[in-house]
Amino acid sequence: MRRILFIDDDTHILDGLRRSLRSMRDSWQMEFVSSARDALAAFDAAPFDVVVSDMRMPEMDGADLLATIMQRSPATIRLVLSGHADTAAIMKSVGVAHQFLNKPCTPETLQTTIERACDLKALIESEAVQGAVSGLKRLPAVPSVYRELVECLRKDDATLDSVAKVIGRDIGMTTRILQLVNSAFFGLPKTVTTVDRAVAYLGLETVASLVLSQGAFASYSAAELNGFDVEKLMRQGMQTAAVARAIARAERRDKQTIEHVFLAGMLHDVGSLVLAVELPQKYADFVTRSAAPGADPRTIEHEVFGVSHAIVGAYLLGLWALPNTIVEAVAYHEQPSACAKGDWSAFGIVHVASRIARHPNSADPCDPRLWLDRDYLQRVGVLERWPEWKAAAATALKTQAAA
Amino acid sequence: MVNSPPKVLVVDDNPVDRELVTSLLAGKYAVGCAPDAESGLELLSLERPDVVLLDHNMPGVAGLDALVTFVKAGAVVIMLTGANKDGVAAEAFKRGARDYVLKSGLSRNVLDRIISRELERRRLELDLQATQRRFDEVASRIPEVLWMRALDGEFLYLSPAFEQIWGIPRSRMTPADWLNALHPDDKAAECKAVEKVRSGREYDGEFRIVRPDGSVRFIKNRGYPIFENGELVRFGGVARDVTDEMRMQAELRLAQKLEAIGQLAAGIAHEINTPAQYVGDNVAFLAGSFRDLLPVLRAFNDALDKGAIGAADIERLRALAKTADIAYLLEEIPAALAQAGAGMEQITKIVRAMKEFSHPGDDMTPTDLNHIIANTVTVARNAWKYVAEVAFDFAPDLPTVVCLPSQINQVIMNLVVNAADAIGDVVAGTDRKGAITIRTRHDGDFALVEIEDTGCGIPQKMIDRIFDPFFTTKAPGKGTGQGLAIARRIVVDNHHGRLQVTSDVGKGTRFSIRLPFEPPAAATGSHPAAEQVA
Repeated sequence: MRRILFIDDDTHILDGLRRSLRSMRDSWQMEFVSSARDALAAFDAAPFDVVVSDMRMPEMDGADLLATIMQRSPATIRLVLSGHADTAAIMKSVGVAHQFLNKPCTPETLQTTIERACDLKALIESEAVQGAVSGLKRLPAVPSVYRELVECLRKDDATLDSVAKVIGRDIGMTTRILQLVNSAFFGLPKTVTTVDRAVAYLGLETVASLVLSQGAFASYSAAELNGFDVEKLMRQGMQTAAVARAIARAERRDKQTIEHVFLAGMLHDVGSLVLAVELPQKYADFVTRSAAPGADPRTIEHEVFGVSHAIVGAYLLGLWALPNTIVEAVAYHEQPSACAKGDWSAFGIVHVASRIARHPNSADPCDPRLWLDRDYLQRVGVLERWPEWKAAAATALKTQAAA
Repeated sequence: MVNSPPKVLVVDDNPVDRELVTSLLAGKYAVGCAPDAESGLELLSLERPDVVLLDHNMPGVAGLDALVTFVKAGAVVIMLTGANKDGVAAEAFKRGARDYVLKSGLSRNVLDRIISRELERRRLELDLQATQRRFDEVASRIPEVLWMRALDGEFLYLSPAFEQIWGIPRSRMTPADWLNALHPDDKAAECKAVEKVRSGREYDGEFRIVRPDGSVRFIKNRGYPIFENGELVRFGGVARDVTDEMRMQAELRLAQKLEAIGQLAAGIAHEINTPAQYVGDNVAFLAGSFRDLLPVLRAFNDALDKGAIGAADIERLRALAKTADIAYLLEEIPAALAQAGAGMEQITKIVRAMKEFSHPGDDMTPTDLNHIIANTVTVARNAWKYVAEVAFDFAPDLPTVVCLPSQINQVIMNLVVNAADAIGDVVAGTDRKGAITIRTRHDGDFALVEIEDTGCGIPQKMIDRIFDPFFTTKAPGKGTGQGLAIARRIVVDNHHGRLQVTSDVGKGTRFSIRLPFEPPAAATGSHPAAEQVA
């Protein structure tokens, strides 16, 4: 039985949830409380696997409650269900919530979100993965600038200025961000020379994404990299991000999803970096073996490491407390059909984007080099949209090639 | 230049006369000599003398013809003549000589006096030219039109900017042309204004002009009477094109309105999303309940069709009822229906309030203040519900107030949101709530609205500044400091009412709005011209 706690100051909401989720009563043990204080008291009695909290509540709001729960019980999955869908509310939950759901949210969406969050957690915390990951000497820490950025964004009085200052303190990061922002990748009308202008042009989320991915790829020194081409990995990440964004737009996804697939695209192969640096011998073996004609790199990866780079990446991003959508997208980007309750969402888009970015000239979705998960695409009923994605991707990649 | 002596050129064919004049001028002036007009002209262009002394009787070119040539070349010429004939003197003046001196009367003093006077005159001319040039430089560069008119209205001066703004040439502007360029609706007022300045008073005018291309510009004009020896002689002033300023002001007003709507919209979305969530959940539950109940209902129907119910039927129905958890459903379905209904009511209420709030019409209308206040409080609910309870204390028989409801809505909204913010500062992090009390009263010719909060209060040293534009104590991004300034403009300027505040730090603040039931006839909501620009 999963233990799930719902918090909302409006008892009508709690009544509605209790009734509409009643069909889950055989697999979920649910409790409903109307204040943060009661929530913490319930936690003291017995911890929960999942909490679903309202955002704005008197006394202590959802973000503060989730932050407290994160400290007391880090393993708990933390979701927000809020009627405030503005950027400020979403920003406040970054780093403390695994996922942000908007009211009104159907009982089905709530169910799948909770189930998938639990599945994902089970997947990246499975014994096999734990065993493989514990063999790694150390995992990159979340970039400190990103952590500061998230803390800054969580404050009520966060301004463009204060955000720019946080980034500006790290000269190396500032330089990399400005280089990126001014590359043809973003196609800005004029050269941006300061971080606050970059934030003004691209929005906080995109700049935060850039900070995170730049930080992640800069985790290792040149000596540690030992010849591993991190630049190439980054370039592929950028291309995947651009294509993923183009597809999400073509699919008319909301702004948050577009941001998420963008960041997931940039980071989708971060697990490869970790494996290559931490297990250089095995990685060399893996590269040699998967270069053989007709070899399936996914099988070889499992044979060599006992775990896939996708799961290692997802594990890392999970540790970094990134939104679940991103962790999920990284975890399933190679094989979305592995997600049992998978619908046509962010991880599917990142999968398609990573395939197209890797082989931009493969026009046929059946091309074996693509390793496109056609079973999944067929199941969610979108395979026939392949030509539209290719067209959107071609435009996105053309802009990038001009860089 | 200041230290070098003035240069004098003596043009005379008689060497004795040249000698004489040179000796008379020596010491004070630098003297050059030429024996004839040709070499004189040459020296003139080389040396640029300040004054030329030109002999009248010279061979070759006749003296007067030489004079013309010298004057044309820009020289200040004084004729030297032997003959004392008035005709010559008059002719010389006519052709541009500044003066003439009889050779018989030559003396150091006479020459010195005449030359000094010419030099002084020259200096004044140059000064005047410089002043004129500086004035022209200013007048041609500033975007304002400087103008001067005679008492009969004829234009004495119009600066170059006039052509830019009016789009017509400024030379030969007549009073009729001036009137013609005015917007038909503004002619009468401008004529009156001209009369006013003619009677010796200053005036401030605003009018529109229609340019030849049909475009309309807004002009602000200030006129000043000009007196000489206590007598009104002319009038002059400055006219300014304020079209862009007015457009910017209108845009700023619109931007502020949009900002307020944007802040509202987020709150409204929340007010709708929350009930939408539980309406949806309850409907989903009802759908599921019906699915659960179907087997029971079918079995019941079957039993009815059979016409007789046996023990086995009863047993079957009982088993089905147990599976469906009928006891639970009997209890929960009515509650679910009631909450779904309540949610829909909540959504309808907020949508209706929002509609009324947004489209109340922009004309002065007799308005039920109690109603629009209650409505605005509903719209602002998301701003106060976490921190305060709102209590209404309305005068039940308050007569209607002739006002612009959209603007009064804005004022009430502003004061309620401020009250909630002030209370929020006090109750933050506690489970307490403050109180906002809104009172209406009949107060003579005025309707009185009081909005009272139990917030943090306003310190005495700030209370005088709270109505200043851009004064704010809120954190960056929380307010532009325009709210109370706008509220005051709306109440005082647009409605001829009063807006007052009393505050006790730590206890709370009370804003009092007094609106006349019937505002004076002249009251208009907003500058009609500004609306046209927008």
